[in-house]
Amino acid sequence: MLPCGLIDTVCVIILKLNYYLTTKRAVTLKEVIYLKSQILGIHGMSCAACAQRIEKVVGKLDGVVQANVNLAGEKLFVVYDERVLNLENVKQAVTKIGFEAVEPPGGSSVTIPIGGMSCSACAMRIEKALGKLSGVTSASVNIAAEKAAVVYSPGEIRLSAIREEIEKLGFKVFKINKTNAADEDKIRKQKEFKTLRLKFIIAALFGAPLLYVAMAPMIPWVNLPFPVWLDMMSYPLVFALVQIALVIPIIAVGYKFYTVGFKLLWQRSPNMDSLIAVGTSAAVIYSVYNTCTIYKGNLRAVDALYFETAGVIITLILLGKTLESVSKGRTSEAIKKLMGLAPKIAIIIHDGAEKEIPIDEVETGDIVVVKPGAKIPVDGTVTEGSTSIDESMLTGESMPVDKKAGSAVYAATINTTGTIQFCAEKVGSDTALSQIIKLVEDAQGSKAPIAQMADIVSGIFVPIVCVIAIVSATAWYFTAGNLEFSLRIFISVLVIACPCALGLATPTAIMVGTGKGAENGILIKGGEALETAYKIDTVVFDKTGTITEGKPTVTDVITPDASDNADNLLRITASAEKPSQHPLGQAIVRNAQEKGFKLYKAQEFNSITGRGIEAVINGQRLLAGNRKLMDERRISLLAMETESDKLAQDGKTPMYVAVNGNLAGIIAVADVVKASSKAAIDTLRKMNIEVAMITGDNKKTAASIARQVGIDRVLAEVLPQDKSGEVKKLQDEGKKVAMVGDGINDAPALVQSDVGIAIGSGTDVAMESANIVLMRSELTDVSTAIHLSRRTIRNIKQNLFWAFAYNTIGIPIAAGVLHIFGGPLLNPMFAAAAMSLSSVSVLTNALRLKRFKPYR
Amino acid sequence: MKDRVSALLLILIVLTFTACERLDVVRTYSIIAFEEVYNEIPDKIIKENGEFAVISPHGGDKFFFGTNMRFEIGLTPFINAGLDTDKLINNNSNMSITGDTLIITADILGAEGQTAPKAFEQVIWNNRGRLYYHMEHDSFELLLGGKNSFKWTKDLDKQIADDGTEVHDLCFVLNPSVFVDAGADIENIDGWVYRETMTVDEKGKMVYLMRLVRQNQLR
Repeated sequence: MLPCGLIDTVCVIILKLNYYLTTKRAVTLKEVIYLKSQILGIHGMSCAACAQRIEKVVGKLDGVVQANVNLAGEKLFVVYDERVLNLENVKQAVTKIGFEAVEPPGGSSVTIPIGGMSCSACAMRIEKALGKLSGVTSASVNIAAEKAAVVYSPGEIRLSAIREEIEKLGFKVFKINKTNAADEDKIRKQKEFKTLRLKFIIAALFGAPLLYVAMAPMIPWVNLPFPVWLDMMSYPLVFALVQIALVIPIIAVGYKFYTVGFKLLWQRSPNMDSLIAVGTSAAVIYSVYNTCTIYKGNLRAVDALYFETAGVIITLILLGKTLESVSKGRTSEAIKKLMGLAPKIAIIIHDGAEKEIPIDEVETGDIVVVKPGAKIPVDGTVTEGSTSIDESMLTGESMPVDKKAGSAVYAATINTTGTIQFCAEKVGSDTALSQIIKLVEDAQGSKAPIAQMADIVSGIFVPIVCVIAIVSATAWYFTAGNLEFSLRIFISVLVIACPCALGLATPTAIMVGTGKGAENGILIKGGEALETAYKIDTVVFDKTGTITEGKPTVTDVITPDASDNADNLLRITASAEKPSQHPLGQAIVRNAQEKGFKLYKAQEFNSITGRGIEAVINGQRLLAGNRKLMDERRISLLAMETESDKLAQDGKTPMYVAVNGNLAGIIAVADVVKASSKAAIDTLRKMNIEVAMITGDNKKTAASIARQVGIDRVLAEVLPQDKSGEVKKLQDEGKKVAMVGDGINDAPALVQSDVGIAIGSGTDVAMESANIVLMRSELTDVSTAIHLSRRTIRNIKQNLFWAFAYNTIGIPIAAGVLHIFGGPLLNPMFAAAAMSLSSVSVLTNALRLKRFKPYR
Repeated sequence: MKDRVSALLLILIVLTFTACERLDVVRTYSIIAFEEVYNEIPDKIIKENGEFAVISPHGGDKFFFGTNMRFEIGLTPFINAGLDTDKLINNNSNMSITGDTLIITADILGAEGQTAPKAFEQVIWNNRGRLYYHMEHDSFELLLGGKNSFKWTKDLDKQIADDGTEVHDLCFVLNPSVFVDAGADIENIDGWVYRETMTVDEKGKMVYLMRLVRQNQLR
């Protein structure tokens, strides 16, 4: 474990290189020393445009070397020269553009249930005692809830020390629930959905009657019931005031469109919210003005009220946002699952005896005991005993790895056969598992959500509409000479330009697309996956469990004389391997059972760790194992050297079988390629997508598998922690990368990739880390997913067209083009027609996606 | 506390009533518009036998708006168009003939007032449910029952409506079917125009009906 100062220096050196590469200016060693890094919490961001704006503004400050915003985590990572500016300057720059920058409280937060408190004095005692502990930032005790909320730095103080301190005071500590980023993220998302849903319901409750009141008089040929006291020709002012009363709650629940939209407009980065804010504000302000003129006697103004336009737009946009939040992507469940892999308890040797302790309390230097079947609690080096350990969570390889004194062991891997003792060397956040968790967190945090198409289009549309409004108003002013009329033109253009179906264009397509995916066995976790997958030009496949079956299978049974004794060989070997837990042995047993062989009962059985097995079957002594076992027992392999070499070249594992001291044959075991793998890769090639394979396996085996399925680019012998780095390298080449994997070790790469695709038969962690899960575990579904994404994007673009089309047609009318020839100006009927036509068109077009068929 | 709540409620009720009155802009401006008509043709608004009447500048027909609301129109043009007066009277109980004047009684509440505008204002108050505003012509219509009505403009300067038709400042409007049934050639009644007019049906819906109109342009 590196001391803190050294870590900082290493980070700064990395930053120096990054700075040089990005700015092409060498940072001197003197400058490096003065560089400081800090993470600030940012409040008030609502979209990628906000994040980009903050990065731009902070990045331009003198003395700032690097500024990166994590929108999802609401954090700003800044590196700066402390001689030129301080953190306050950075915070001020952020505040100036309308956001709030706070220094995060730091550390972990935990709620500790405490029993035995009787009065506020007890609470104060606990708070005082905890506050004195080094590493505790804050402690607040709620006596009514019998809980203490503690913020502390895990690096400085353990949770067990905090608990001990409370217990020392004479109170009882119950089960502690640590809040973590995953829980907080889930809670935040649920809250966001509930809030949006409530807002939409309120808007709809008021919007429906508003639309009815406004539109019913406009369609007298349809005999809709309507109260006399609301008749627009008899009581126009009441008609207007009722609409004002109905639109106010809608505007209230949609207030965020105005706060965010106008802010971004002011910052010259308009998005969809800006368009909504401008359009609905114009509608409401103009309508309120007309209401006032009705009061003053201009009864004709009753025909120029647009309250329902504003109300319906806000309601539909809220509906779209609610739908989006339902389908919002990946949670941090992956991290939670990863955290759950580590065992909760460890057994250490303490004062010569075994003692069970919580895993948090294991310290470096402790001697840890692990029995067969148990999980390794922390990283360390074996000091006593030997065993085989299933390290598939780290390496992805299903074959257990033999361990003896001096071998390294890793947290969360599974001890299979023997009992070992090892010296704990990396605990807590330093274990390999924690590194994977950190990689996943970092990858998740570094990716900003994609800029939605609706925002991009709005960003272009808003300035154009504003220009048209100004130009047409000005033209009418100079030709007609009537200020009021030209203002009416100005506002009419802004009103009609706001498309109510804009907020539905993307979520409707996403919902139909994800539904279609589900029909085809493709679970798409969120619109972002669909909106990104269409750009994929490179797919990286994990080997084991993805391209291959993931478990060993018997591929060859060879006897020295190539006689039909092969079946007998398989049968007796399977009989001998039946008691074995080894995956190779189990593969042989499976193969024999599939062939319908009745297995004999072994009279004797002995497992030789790292070598193989020895058994007595039907009075015959049988040895089955690797070359080492044969060499030790002096069994000659000369008769089958050629076959043995060929098998190794093909990437297969030969299991030698000797009966009564003589070589009886070889049973080769390998992880075979899935039946659909080649077809899947061929299909991707046809779609002009580059295919690569990444594996921790050796180059020979990797090359053999790649040849079988037709992959040219192979990244072999890649350590789990380097998989995400390899994906990043491809991304740095400008490629859009999809990663297809199934294992825990694939999690960082799945998160790092532009689109992570997990196999349904894979681990929970992989499925949680991925954007897309192939429920049928068919690789051919990868191309289907990408094809579906392309179709969905096309549908979104069509929807956006329809969302804007009718309103755009209305712009010339609103600008008074028809009026030049004696035609009409904009009136509520036009606005309502545009709204309804665009909504129907968008919804109908989105449903067309249901006709999607997989690419073949 | 109780007293404060009672006082607040009382203030709210008063404000509501006051507000309600101020909210009825159609009534308010219909009265103002009639006053403008009155100011434009003061000699055509008379008091006869204690009742006020508007005389049509063209033709001399009268619309009485007093205790007994009615039209008094010249019968000669109708007779010349083939009207059978006996049939007309027998079939329509709200009609009677005095000399060469046809009297069509309105089926609405009458009113009294010191001056013509005040009397008219009272009529409006008493028959608020019969008053409508027509946006296209920027005019008001008081329904008199039996598809008869009295119309007056809100804007004396407005000559052409949004739909391109002529706007008339003062109109007496009659249901033509009673005259057709009595044998009159409805399109050839001198001084009256048989055309489509906007009105409101029994359910309060805006409709277009063919009616007989005595139309007057005051400016």
